[in-house]
Amino acid sequence: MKARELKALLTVVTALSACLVAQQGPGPKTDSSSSALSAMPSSHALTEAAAGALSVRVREVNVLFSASDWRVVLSRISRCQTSR
Amino acid sequence: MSDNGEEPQSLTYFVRQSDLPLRLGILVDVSGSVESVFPAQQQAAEIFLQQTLRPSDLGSIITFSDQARVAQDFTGKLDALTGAVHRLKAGEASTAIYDAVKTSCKNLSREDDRSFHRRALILITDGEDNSSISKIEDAISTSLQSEVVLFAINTNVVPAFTDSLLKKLTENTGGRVLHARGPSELKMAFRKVNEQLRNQYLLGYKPANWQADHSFHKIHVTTLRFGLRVHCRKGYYANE
Repeated sequence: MKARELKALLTVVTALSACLVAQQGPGPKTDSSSSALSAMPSSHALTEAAAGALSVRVREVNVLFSASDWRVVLSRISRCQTSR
Repeated sequence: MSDNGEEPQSLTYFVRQSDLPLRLGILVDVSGSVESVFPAQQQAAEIFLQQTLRPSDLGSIITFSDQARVAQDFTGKLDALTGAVHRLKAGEASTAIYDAVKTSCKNLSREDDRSFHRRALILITDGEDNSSISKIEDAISTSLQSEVVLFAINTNVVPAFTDSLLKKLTENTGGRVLHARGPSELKMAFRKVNEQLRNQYLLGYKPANWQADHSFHKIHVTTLRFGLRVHCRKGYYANE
Protein backbone atom coordinates (compact mmCIF):
# COMPACT_ATOMS: atom_id res chain seq x y z
CA MET A 1 0.00 0.00 0.00
CA LYS A 2 2.81 2.43 0.99
CA ALA A 3 4.76 1.60 -2.20
CA ARG A 4 1.67 2.39 -4.30
CA GLU A 5 1.29 5.80 -2.55
CA LEU A 6 5.00 6.54 -3.06
CA LYS A 7 4.67 5.67 -6.77
CA ALA A 8 1.67 8.00 -7.13
CA LEU A 9 3.58 10.79 -5.37
CA LEU A 10 6.57 10.31 -7.70
CA THR A 11 4.27 10.47 -10.76
CA VAL A 12 2.79 13.79 -9.55
CA VAL A 13 6.28 15.28 -8.87
CA THR A 14 7.52 14.18 -12.33
CA ALA A 15 4.46 15.69 -14.04
CA LEU A 16 4.84 18.98 -12.16
CA SER A 17 8.55 19.34 -12.97
CA ALA A 18 7.88 18.58 -16.67
CA CYS A 19 5.19 21.28 -16.64
CA LEU A 20 7.61 23.82 -15.11
CA VAL A 21 10.30 23.06 -17.72
CA ALA A 22 7.76 23.49 -20.51
CA GLN A 23 6.67 26.89 -19.13
CA GLN A 24 10.25 28.13 -18.88
CA GLY A 25 10.94 27.31 -22.54
CA PRO A 26 14.40 26.83 -24.05
CA GLY A 27 15.90 29.65 -21.94
CA PRO A 28 18.68 32.09 -22.69
CA LYS A 29 21.73 30.86 -24.60
CA THR A 30 25.02 31.90 -23.04
CA ASP A 31 25.00 34.72 -20.54
CA SER A 32 26.25 34.32 -16.99
CA SER A 33 23.82 36.91 -15.58
CA SER A 34 20.84 35.30 -17.27
CA SER A 35 21.89 31.77 -16.25
CA ALA A 36 21.63 32.92 -12.63
CA LEU A 37 18.17 34.24 -13.39
CA SER A 38 17.07 30.96 -14.93
CA ALA A 39 17.15 29.34 -11.48
CA MET A 40 14.35 31.72 -10.45
CA PRO A 41 10.76 31.28 -11.64
CA SER A 42 10.73 32.47 -15.27
CA SER A 43 9.81 36.09 -15.83
CA HIS A 44 7.45 34.95 -18.57
CA ALA A 45 5.55 32.76 -16.11
CA LEU A 46 5.35 35.64 -13.63
CA THR A 47 4.12 38.01 -16.32
CA GLU A 48 1.48 35.54 -17.41
CA ALA A 49 0.35 35.14 -13.81
CA ALA A 50 0.11 38.89 -13.40
CA ALA A 51 -1.75 39.35 -16.67
CA GLY A 52 -5.12 38.58 -15.12
CA ALA A 53 -4.76 41.31 -12.52
CA LEU A 54 -3.00 43.77 -14.77
CA SER A 55 -5.08 44.29 -17.87
CA VAL A 56 -2.89 47.00 -19.37
CA ARG A 57 0.86 46.56 -19.68
CA VAL A 58 2.79 49.51 -20.97
CA ARG A 59 5.72 49.36 -23.31
CA GLU A 60 7.59 51.97 -25.24
CA VAL A 61 7.08 52.34 -28.97
CA ASN A 62 9.67 53.92 -31.29
CA VAL A 63 8.59 55.71 -34.43
CA LEU A 64 11.03 56.92 -37.03
CA PHE A 65 9.62 59.56 -39.31
CA SER A 66 10.65 62.19 -41.80
CA ALA A 67 8.76 65.16 -43.17
CA SER A 68 8.84 66.73 -46.61
CA ASP A 69 7.75 70.26 -47.33
CA TRP A 70 5.33 70.38 -50.27
CA ARG A 71 6.21 74.00 -51.04
CA VAL A 72 9.88 73.08 -51.47
CA VAL A 73 8.94 70.08 -53.65
CA LEU A 74 6.68 72.25 -55.84
CA SER A 75 9.31 74.96 -56.25
CA ARG A 76 11.90 72.32 -57.30
CA ILE A 77 9.49 70.94 -59.93
CA SER A 78 8.73 74.40 -61.33
CA ARG A 79 12.48 75.21 -61.42
CA CYS A 80 13.12 71.98 -63.40
CA GLN A 81 10.32 72.82 -65.86
CA THR A 82 11.64 76.36 -66.36
CA SER A 83 15.17 75.13 -67.04
CA ARG A 84 13.83 72.73 -69.72
CA MET B 1 0.42 61.85 -32.56
CA SER B 2 -2.00 59.04 -31.85
CA ASP B 3 -1.87 55.27 -31.28
CA ASN B 4 -5.08 53.53 -32.36
CA GLY B 5 -6.76 56.93 -32.26
CA GLU B 6 -5.73 57.64 -28.67
CA GLU B 7 -3.21 60.10 -27.35
CA PRO B 8 -0.16 58.36 -25.87
CA GLN B 9 0.20 58.09 -22.10
CA SER B 10 3.49 59.96 -22.39
CA LEU B 11 6.11 61.01 -24.93
CA THR B 12 9.48 59.74 -23.77
CA TYR B 13 11.83 61.31 -26.28
CA PHE B 14 12.02 63.21 -29.54
CA VAL B 15 15.36 63.50 -31.30
CA ARG B 16 16.79 64.08 -34.73
CA GLN B 17 18.32 60.79 -35.76
CA SER B 18 20.42 61.55 -38.79
CA ASP B 19 23.45 59.96 -37.15
CA LEU B 20 21.81 56.76 -35.95
CA PRO B 21 23.57 53.80 -37.65
CA LEU B 22 21.87 52.50 -40.74
CA ARG B 23 21.33 48.92 -41.89
CA LEU B 24 20.70 49.22 -45.59
CA GLY B 25 19.60 46.59 -48.08
CA ILE B 26 19.56 47.21 -51.81
CA LEU B 27 17.21 44.77 -53.48
CA VAL B 28 17.81 44.63 -57.23
CA ASP B 29 15.44 43.17 -59.78
CA VAL B 30 17.53 41.11 -62.24
CA SER B 31 14.66 39.85 -64.38
CA GLY B 32 14.74 40.27 -68.17
CA SER B 33 12.26 43.16 -68.16
CA VAL B 34 14.79 45.56 -66.56
CA GLU B 35 17.69 44.70 -68.89
CA SER B 36 17.58 47.95 -70.91
CA VAL B 37 17.94 50.22 -67.87
CA PHE B 38 20.23 47.91 -65.90
CA PRO B 39 23.67 49.52 -66.53
CA ALA B 40 22.32 52.95 -65.49
CA GLN B 41 20.72 51.31 -62.45
CA GLN B 42 24.06 49.80 -61.41
CA GLN B 43 25.88 53.10 -61.82
CA ALA B 44 23.28 55.04 -59.80
CA ALA B 45 23.34 52.42 -57.02
CA GLU B 46 27.14 52.60 -56.79
CA ILE B 47 27.04 56.42 -56.52
CA PHE B 48 24.29 56.17 -53.90
CA LEU B 49 26.34 53.77 -51.77
CA GLN B 50 29.38 56.05 -51.98
CA GLN B 51 27.33 59.08 -50.93
CA THR B 52 25.18 57.43 -48.27
CA LEU B 53 27.16 54.90 -46.27
CA ARG B 54 29.02 56.20 -43.23
CA PRO B 55 31.55 54.30 -41.09
CA SER B 56 28.89 53.11 -38.62
CA ASP B 57 26.56 51.84 -41.38
CA LEU B 58 26.30 48.40 -42.94
CA GLY B 59 24.93 47.59 -46.37
CA SER B 60 23.96 44.46 -48.26
CA ILE B 61 23.13 43.70 -51.89
CA ILE B 62 20.35 41.25 -52.69
CA THR B 63 19.15 40.28 -56.16
CA PHE B 64 15.89 38.66 -57.09
CA SER B 65 14.06 37.13 -59.99
CA ASP B 66 11.99 34.11 -58.98
CA GLN B 67 13.77 34.10 -55.60
CA ALA B 68 16.06 36.34 -53.58
CA ARG B 69 19.82 35.76 -53.48
CA VAL B 70 22.37 37.57 -51.33
CA ALA B 71 25.05 38.99 -53.65
CA GLN B 72 26.87 40.68 -50.77
CA ASP B 73 26.04 40.13 -47.12
CA PHE B 74 26.15 42.98 -44.58
CA THR B 75 29.42 44.83 -44.61
CA GLY B 76 30.73 48.33 -44.02
CA LYS B 77 33.27 47.92 -46.81
CA LEU B 78 32.24 50.19 -49.64
CA ASP B 79 34.46 48.44 -52.19
CA ALA B 80 32.80 45.09 -51.52
CA LEU B 81 29.32 46.61 -51.96
CA THR B 82 30.03 48.58 -55.12
CA GLY B 83 31.93 45.59 -56.53
CA ALA B 84 28.91 43.36 -55.91
CA VAL B 85 26.62 45.86 -57.67
CA HIS B 86 29.06 46.10 -60.58
CA ARG B 87 29.10 42.32 -61.09
CA LEU B 88 25.29 41.96 -61.26
CA LYS B 89 23.70 40.77 -64.48
CA ALA B 90 20.08 40.98 -65.54
CA GLY B 91 18.16 38.65 -67.81
CA GLU B 92 16.47 36.01 -65.65
CA ALA B 93 12.97 34.81 -66.34
CA SER B 94 10.47 35.73 -63.63
CA THR B 95 9.90 38.37 -60.93
CA ALA B 96 8.81 37.61 -57.36
CA ILE B 97 8.88 41.02 -55.65
CA TYR B 98 6.82 40.22 -52.55
CA ASP B 99 8.79 37.05 -51.75
CA ALA B 100 12.04 38.97 -52.16
CA VAL B 101 10.86 41.83 -49.91
CA LYS B 102 9.92 39.33 -47.19
CA THR B 103 13.29 37.55 -47.37
CA SER B 104 15.21 40.84 -47.36
CA CYS B 105 13.29 42.26 -44.38
CA LYS B 106 14.00 39.11 -42.39
CA ASN B 107 17.66 39.43 -43.36
CA LEU B 108 17.72 43.07 -42.22
CA SER B 109 16.32 42.22 -38.79
CA ARG B 110 18.55 39.24 -38.02
CA GLU B 111 18.89 38.62 -34.32
CA ASP B 112 22.67 38.49 -34.32
CA ASP B 113 22.70 42.25 -34.83
CA ARG B 114 21.46 43.79 -31.58
CA SER B 115 22.77 47.35 -31.87
CA PHE B 116 20.22 50.16 -32.06
CA HIS B 117 19.90 51.25 -35.66
CA ARG B 118 17.56 52.17 -38.48
CA ARG B 119 16.67 49.67 -41.18
CA ALA B 120 15.93 50.56 -44.78
CA LEU B 121 15.42 48.53 -47.92
CA ILE B 122 15.65 50.04 -51.39
CA LEU B 123 13.85 48.03 -54.02
CA ILE B 124 14.84 48.73 -57.62
CA THR B 125 12.33 47.22 -60.01
CA ASP B 126 9.90 47.81 -62.83
CA GLY B 127 7.25 46.55 -60.45
CA GLU B 128 5.84 43.66 -62.46
CA ASP B 129 5.44 40.79 -59.98
CA ASN B 130 4.53 37.57 -61.77
CA SER B 131 5.70 34.72 -59.57
CA SER B 132 5.49 35.51 -55.83
CA ILE B 133 4.03 32.88 -53.55
CA SER B 134 3.44 35.58 -50.91
CA LYS B 135 0.81 38.26 -51.23
CA ILE B 136 1.50 41.98 -50.97
CA GLU B 137 -0.10 42.00 -47.49
CA ASP B 138 2.46 39.41 -46.31
CA ALA B 139 5.31 41.58 -47.55
CA ILE B 140 3.87 44.67 -45.80
CA SER B 141 3.31 42.75 -42.57
CA THR B 142 6.89 41.39 -42.57
CA SER B 143 8.27 44.90 -43.27
CA LEU B 144 6.30 46.34 -40.35
CA GLN B 145 7.28 43.55 -37.97
CA SER B 146 10.94 43.94 -38.97
CA GLU B 147 10.65 47.75 -38.65
CA VAL B 148 12.11 48.24 -42.12
CA VAL B 149 11.42 51.42 -44.11
CA LEU B 150 10.91 50.38 -47.70
CA PHE B 151 11.66 52.58 -50.71
CA ALA B 152 10.92 51.56 -54.28
CA ILE B 153 12.62 53.00 -57.34
CA ASN B 154 10.24 52.27 -60.17
CA THR B 155 12.10 51.94 -63.49
CA ASN B 156 9.02 51.03 -65.52
CA VAL B 157 8.65 53.21 -68.64
CA VAL B 158 4.93 53.39 -67.88
CA PRO B 159 5.07 53.71 -64.07
CA ALA B 160 1.30 54.06 -63.74
CA PHE B 161 0.97 50.30 -64.40
CA THR B 162 2.84 49.31 -61.28
CA ASP B 163 2.72 52.40 -59.09
CA SER B 164 -0.34 51.60 -57.01
CA LEU B 165 1.07 48.30 -55.71
CA LEU B 166 4.50 49.75 -55.04
CA LYS B 167 2.89 52.70 -53.25
CA LYS B 168 0.88 50.35 -51.08
CA LEU B 169 4.02 48.36 -50.32
CA THR B 170 6.20 51.34 -49.39
CA GLU B 171 3.92 53.94 -47.83
CA ASN B 172 2.73 51.52 -45.15
CA THR B 173 6.32 51.30 -43.92
CA GLY B 174 7.09 55.04 -44.00
CA GLY B 175 8.89 54.90 -47.34
CA ARG B 176 7.86 56.03 -50.79
CA VAL B 177 8.00 55.31 -54.52
CA LEU B 178 10.32 57.26 -56.79
CA HIS B 179 10.29 57.14 -60.58
CA ALA B 180 13.39 56.68 -62.68
CA ARG B 181 13.20 56.02 -66.39
CA GLY B 182 16.71 57.10 -67.29
CA PRO B 183 20.18 57.70 -65.81
CA SER B 184 19.53 61.25 -64.57
CA GLU B 185 16.23 60.29 -62.94
CA LEU B 186 17.89 57.31 -61.28
CA LYS B 187 20.52 59.55 -59.70
CA MET B 188 17.80 61.97 -58.58
CA ALA B 189 15.73 59.13 -57.05
CA PHE B 190 18.68 57.83 -55.05
CA ARG B 191 19.44 61.38 -53.92
CA LYS B 192 15.89 61.74 -52.58
CA VAL B 193 16.18 58.45 -50.69
CA ASN B 194 19.44 59.65 -49.19
CA GLU B 195 17.83 62.96 -48.14
CA GLN B 196 14.94 61.17 -46.45
CA LEU B 197 17.24 58.72 -44.67
CA ARG B 198 19.44 61.52 -43.38
CA ASN B 199 16.54 63.66 -42.18
CA GLN B 200 14.68 61.34 -39.88
CA TYR B 201 13.37 61.97 -36.39
CA LEU B 202 12.89 59.41 -33.66
CA LEU B 203 9.86 59.67 -31.42
CA GLY B 204 9.39 57.42 -28.40
CA TYR B 205 6.13 57.09 -26.51
CA LYS B 206 4.17 54.93 -24.13
CA PRO B 207 0.77 54.01 -25.59
CA ALA B 208 -2.31 54.67 -23.48
CA ASN B 209 -3.56 51.14 -24.06
CA TRP B 210 -1.15 48.35 -24.88
CA GLN B 211 -1.31 44.60 -24.44
CA ALA B 212 0.85 41.91 -26.01
CA ASP B 213 -2.07 40.51 -27.99
CA HIS B 214 -0.34 40.70 -31.44
CA SER B 215 -2.99 43.16 -32.59
CA PHE B 216 -2.17 45.89 -35.10
CA HIS B 217 -1.92 49.42 -33.69
CA LYS B 218 -2.37 52.29 -36.11
CA ILE B 219 0.09 55.16 -35.73
CA HIS B 220 -0.68 58.66 -36.89
CA VAL B 221 1.93 61.41 -36.77
CA THR B 222 1.24 64.93 -37.95
CA THR B 223 2.97 68.29 -37.71
CA LEU B 224 1.59 71.62 -36.60
CA ARG B 225 3.44 73.47 -39.35
CA PHE B 226 1.41 73.88 -42.53
CA GLY B 227 2.72 72.27 -45.73
CA LEU B 228 4.63 69.34 -44.25
CA ARG B 229 3.92 65.76 -45.18
CA VAL B 230 4.99 63.11 -42.67
CA HIS B 231 6.42 59.77 -43.81
CA CYS B 232 6.23 57.10 -41.12
CA ARG B 233 5.11 53.52 -40.74
CA LYS B 234 1.35 53.13 -40.55
CA GLY B 235 1.47 51.03 -37.43
CA TYR B 236 3.02 48.16 -35.50
CA TYR B 237 2.11 44.76 -34.10
CA ALA B 238 1.78 44.53 -30.30
CA ASN B 239 4.27 41.72 -29.77
CA GLU B 240 6.39 41.06 -26.68
